[in-house]
Order: sequence, then C-alpha cells, then structure tokens
Amino acid sequence: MESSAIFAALKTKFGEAAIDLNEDGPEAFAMVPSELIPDVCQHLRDAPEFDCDLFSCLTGVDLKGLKGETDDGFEVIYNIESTGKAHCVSLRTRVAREKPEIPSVSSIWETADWHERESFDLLGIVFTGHPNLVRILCADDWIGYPLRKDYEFPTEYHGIVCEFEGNEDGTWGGHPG
Amino acid sequence: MPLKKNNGGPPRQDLENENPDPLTKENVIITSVDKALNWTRQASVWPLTFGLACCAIEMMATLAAKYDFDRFGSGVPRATPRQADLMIVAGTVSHKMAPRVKRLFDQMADPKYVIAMGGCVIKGGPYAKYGYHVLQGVDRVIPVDVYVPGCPPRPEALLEGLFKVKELCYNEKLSDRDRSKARPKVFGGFEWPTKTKKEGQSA
Amino acid sequence: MSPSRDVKGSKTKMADTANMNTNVHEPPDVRTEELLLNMGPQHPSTHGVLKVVAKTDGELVLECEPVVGYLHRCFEKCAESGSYVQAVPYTDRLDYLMAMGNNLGYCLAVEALMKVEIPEYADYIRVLVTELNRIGSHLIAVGTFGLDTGAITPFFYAFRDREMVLDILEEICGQRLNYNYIRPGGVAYDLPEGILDKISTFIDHMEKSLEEINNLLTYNGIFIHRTANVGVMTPEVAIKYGVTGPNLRSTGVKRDLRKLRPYSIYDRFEFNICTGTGEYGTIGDCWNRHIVRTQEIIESIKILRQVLNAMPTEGEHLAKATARKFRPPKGAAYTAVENSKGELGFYIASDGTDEPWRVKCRAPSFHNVSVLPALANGTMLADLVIILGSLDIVLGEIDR
Repeated sequence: MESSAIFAALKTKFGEAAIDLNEDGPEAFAMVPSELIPDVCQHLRDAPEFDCDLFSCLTGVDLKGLKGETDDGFEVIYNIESTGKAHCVSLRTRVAREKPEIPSVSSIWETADWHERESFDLLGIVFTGHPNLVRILCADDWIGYPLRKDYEFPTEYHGIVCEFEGNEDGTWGGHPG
Repeated sequence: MPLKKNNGGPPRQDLENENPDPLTKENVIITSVDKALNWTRQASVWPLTFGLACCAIEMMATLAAKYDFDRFGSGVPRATPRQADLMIVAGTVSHKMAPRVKRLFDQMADPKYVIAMGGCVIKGGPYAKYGYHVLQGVDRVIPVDVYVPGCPPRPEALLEGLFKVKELCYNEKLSDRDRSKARPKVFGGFEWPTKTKKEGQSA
Repeated sequence: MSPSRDVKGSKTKMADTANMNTNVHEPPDVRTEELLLNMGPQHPSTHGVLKVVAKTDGELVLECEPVVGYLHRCFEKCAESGSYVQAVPYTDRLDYLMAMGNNLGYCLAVEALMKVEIPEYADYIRVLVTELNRIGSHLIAVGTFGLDTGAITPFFYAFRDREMVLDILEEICGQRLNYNYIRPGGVAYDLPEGILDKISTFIDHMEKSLEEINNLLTYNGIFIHRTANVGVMTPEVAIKYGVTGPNLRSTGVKRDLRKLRPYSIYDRFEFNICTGTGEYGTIGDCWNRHIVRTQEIIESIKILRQVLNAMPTEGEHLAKATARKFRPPKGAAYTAVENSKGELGFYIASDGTDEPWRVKCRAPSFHNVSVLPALANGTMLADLVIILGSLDIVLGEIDR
C-alpha cells in the first residue's frame, strides 16, 4: 500500500480534521492529535489492510529554539512498518512543554515499551498508561532530561567532578604542546 | 660461595673448577627475595575479564590468536576480581558504571595494577565535552598505573602497557608491597572521592 | 518421595532400578526457595556491561529482566552538538563490531535529506567495505557464541580470520575498529593500490576457513545438543519485540532490507536471504540463529565477488556537494539499513544549518535484547547464557 493510500484510509476512518497530512518533505507523515494516537495505532495494527506489526522507531524531538517554529513543546514521531505488506507509516504528534503527556502505545507493540522509557529518560515526555515508566539509560538518580535543548550539564555527580577541562587555550582535543 | 656473573654465556671453566658439586654446579642462582618474588609475579600477571566497550574488542584481539597475550604470561583472564592482578579498564566508563568499577577494584587483592586503556578511560575521549553521562577519566574513581592512549589502542600498544606493568612489578620491594598505603588517600578505603580532582590527584 | 531415595542395603537398590522406569518423570518433592540473581554488569557472558536480574528457583529461571544503560555515552547529544560530518566518528562507536555499517546507515540518512548524487565508484567501495565488515562482525558472533557454550578453540579460529579483515580495512582507512571512512556523499579516501587482490585472496581463504569453523563448531554434536531447541523464538514474538536481522530470519521470516528496500547499489547483486531451516533443532532456536550467521558470511563473500568483478577501476570517491560544509534543507526522515545485527535506523531532523537538530538511532541490539525475558523465562540458568550469546548483542548500540 502506498503511503498516500494509507493516509487517505486513515482520513476516512478518523475524520478529515483529525489527520493533517504533510507530503512535501523527505518523508510523508500524518500529524495526529496526541489523544488519538492509541486509536490510530490500534487501527493500523489490527486492520487487515494495514497489518502494521513492526514498530520500528519512536523519536522525541525538542522543538524549543528550532528556527521557524513557534511551538516550544515536543514532537514525537512513530515509524511503523508492516512486515507482511512491506509498507511504512510515519505518524507525528505534538505535546506542550508544560504538560508533555501522551497516551502510551506499549500495550499495542511490546517494542514501544523500551522506546517510551527512553524518551521519558532523555526528554522527559510522560507516556500515560505505561506499565513501568522509569529511567532506562541514565542512572536512576540522574537529574534533568539531557536531550532537552535547555539541559544544563551536571557539574558534579556523587562527588565526582564532571566539569569539562579543555586545553589551556580553550581548544578541545589534540596534543597539547 | 657466590657465583661469578656469567651473563648467559657458555659454562666457564673457572666456575666449574670452583664448584665441584655436579648438582648445584649450573643450577643455583643466588639473588634477593625481592628479585625472585618479583620475577615470578611479573611472569604471570593475570588480567580481569572486564570489558566495557570498543576497547574490550581490541583487548579480546590481544588475547586471541596473532597477538597472543599468553606469550607474556597474561593469557589467563579471570572472571572474578579476587583472582586477578591486573585490571584493564577497556572502554568508556559511564557514571552508572563508575561505582561498579570502583567496587571491582576494591575486591581485587593487593598487589594490583590498573591499565587505563583508551581515550575514554584516560580523559573522557570523544565524549569528554558533550557526554554528560561519561566519567572524564577513570582516575577520578580508582588509581591508574599505566595509561595506554588510542581510540581504541592497537593490540601492540596494550602489550606495551603490559610491559610497563611488568616493570612496575619488577621494581617493587617486599617491604612496601602494600601499595594501597602509597596511593593517594582519597582513592583508598570505601569512601567516594569528595575533593576536587586537582587536589585528589596529588600522586 | 519416591522409594528410590531410600539407600539402605543392596536389596532396596535393586528394587530402585526396577522402579526407575516408572518414577523417572516424577520430580522429587524438594522444597526450594526463590533467589534473586544479579548477573552483570561485570560478567564474562553478558558481552559487555549488560545486567540481567534473574529470579531463579534452583536452576530454573522464573523471570529475568535485562537492565541496560551502563554504557550510555550520549551519542545523540554528541551528534547534535557538532556538524553532520563530525557525527560520523560517533556512529562508529555504536555497534563497534560493524562500524562501516553504522557509517553507511548514518550517511544514507543524511543523503536522504540532502538528495545528493553519490558517485558510482564510491557506492561500490561502500558495499565492499560494509560486506567485509559484516564478515568480521559475524565471525565475532560465531567465535564468542562458541565461548559461551564452552568451546574455546573456534574463538581463536574466528579471530585469526577476523584479523585478516581488519588488516584489509586498516590498509583502506587506517584504523582497526572505528573506521570513520564512509562520509556523507561518498567515502573519505580512495582505495589503496593492490587492495582488491588482497580482498580476493582473503575471500578465497575465508570460504575454506568457514568450512573448518563449521566442522569444528556448527556441526559438532556437543554444540548441537547444547543449542538446538534452546530459546525457541516464534516469528510473532520476534516481530512483537521488534527483533530484526539474523535473529528474525532464523525464525523463518524472509526480511532483509538489502532486498526489501534496496539502498546504495544492493539491487545490482545476487544473494540469498538466509533463514533458519530447522536442519537441527527447531526453527528459531539458538542453533538456527547461529547457522544463519555462518551462512550470511557465504552470502557476503558472494556479494564481494560480484563487486570485485563489476567495480570500475577508478572514479570519484566523494561527491562535490558534500566535500565542504553543507546544509541539508529543513526536514526530517527515517532511513534504515540492514546491519549485521538487524535494522539500523537513523531519524535525522535538520533545521537547515550545518548541524543536525536531532539524531535518533534505532539500534537493532536494543530490540534484540528486549526479547530476552520472552525467551529465557522458564529455561535453565545455563541456557540463559546461551540465549544471550545467540542473540549477538552489542552494548555500544543498546546504550548509545
């Protein structure tokens, strides 16, 4: 199935207004409101014409400071694929910075479990309904969300100094002298 | 009766004349306890099976065919720190891993040696500036004896590092074998280093 | 309790033997306790700094959970803090056994944003070095899997052959492990003189050598007993957990991105998608995962032969558009390649400057290790090690 046909079918199912298409960029995607994400995902997996059984990737992007962007929230991208029908779907959704909450899809694809934990760990996006939303990569007592654009690097962690020491002239790396 | 120095040459007539006992004639070497013990220790420095990242693959290559660590008596990687003499910290140490590295080091029996293998372990390597979760040098947690630079270092470089450790072994005295006392206080015991790095790295 | 536990006098013992056949399937009534076992992060069988927390009852694993993150070295932050080209060395260190494949995946993702034309000669070099690296990566998987099962000799055989791959790759790009060779728009340097002859000598040797490894390990009776029917993965479970690559193919699913969505110039070469056949054991078990890797070495050799025959003798190795600082237009895309561990994807968002806004890596091992509880729950503790070894994970890309 071509991605345009998939998006057309999604539009008829969930209504013209809910799904916002964008096919100009390098990757065609459908912008979906965050509260609709579980329904759309469930439909993509269960409907026999879509049969999207492989959850490829989930990416969180911090939009704060992005050129030409008024929104300062987060964008979450779902890349889904069907192994049987060999087509791919890309969904995107946006959440506000103050309340970054999206319903979890970990009950639909097991893969999403770890991906959502990772996005929570690095960007602080909360996936409501996730069975075990704790940090996965960083240490359990880590402070802050490192991939946010306003993240401040730690100066100390458990008594270990973390400040970066460059060369004396302010450069980084190479052979000093 | 002290043996005269022979320097590995053919048996000298005068020595044979001096020592008529056929059993001890060419089989006795007189040396100090220090030297004899150190000679045995440097000939079997057993490393800890402890790989963290890319450098561990080069460490494995050093242990495997072609480079063959075993030629130098170090081909017996131990799975437990209690049987190991040498810790090769190979790979990036993250903040999550640092307490484990410290614990493994504490579990090793003295005399013990540490090789910091690769740029990440020495100073954070390519992750020094933006790697928020990377420890900038394992010497902020445990004392390091030999630094082997590279990203990753070649097996030859690691072998050179092993030879440096052997040198350290060879030059030690039995009287100061408790090296933990000679180490900076901030690294000994079970306390985390609390001082800043510059103060802590006095030795 | 069965009477066979009574050990008084020889008469009872004889009765035991007579009773054995009837009692053999009855488990002895021995009360055991649950034990929480912490395997790793320093453990010789976890292939790096993985921690597995296993709830055991005697030798049985009731539940287990992989704990990752001990090698989290902030790839994504480092990648978005520099230019597009500066991120290439960081991709080397994701799956450090298959650095060329990571370079290729990242560069194809950047090129998808740029829409830049790659010189044909560079495309051939890319396939050449990637397939060579795939052989090296699979050799490590085969060798260390042998170590996990207790066979030490194949490890030395595999490393002997891998050293030959490394010698060739080192001559091409100057590094043994982290190559930083494939760049957006092509490759960093031209091939050195006489390297094609060396590659052709190597692949001739590799074919014979693989037979040796197969005789020593793959078709060894002890090895088959140890790995066949252990940790059986069904295609449904594999896809549910996002498992890709040889692990997915061993369950019988014919999914190889080189065929499914041919990237670079893979559509020009003929090769088979190797799947588990169940020659021994069950389709999707540890032995079948192992045999798929050894067969893929043969397929890589096939591709290399075709590259050597079809390759132009000279040409441009780097597109002009990316030779200097470049700025991909604003936009974002997800691009995936078939790495030795599975589907390696990069989602790159560009804001129109020379630095990426966001780089996300979809690492195959991240998914391959998440399936561990589904395979290992209910097996013996010793099988946990075998299952983990057969999944061929690399912590560098799990933790990133």
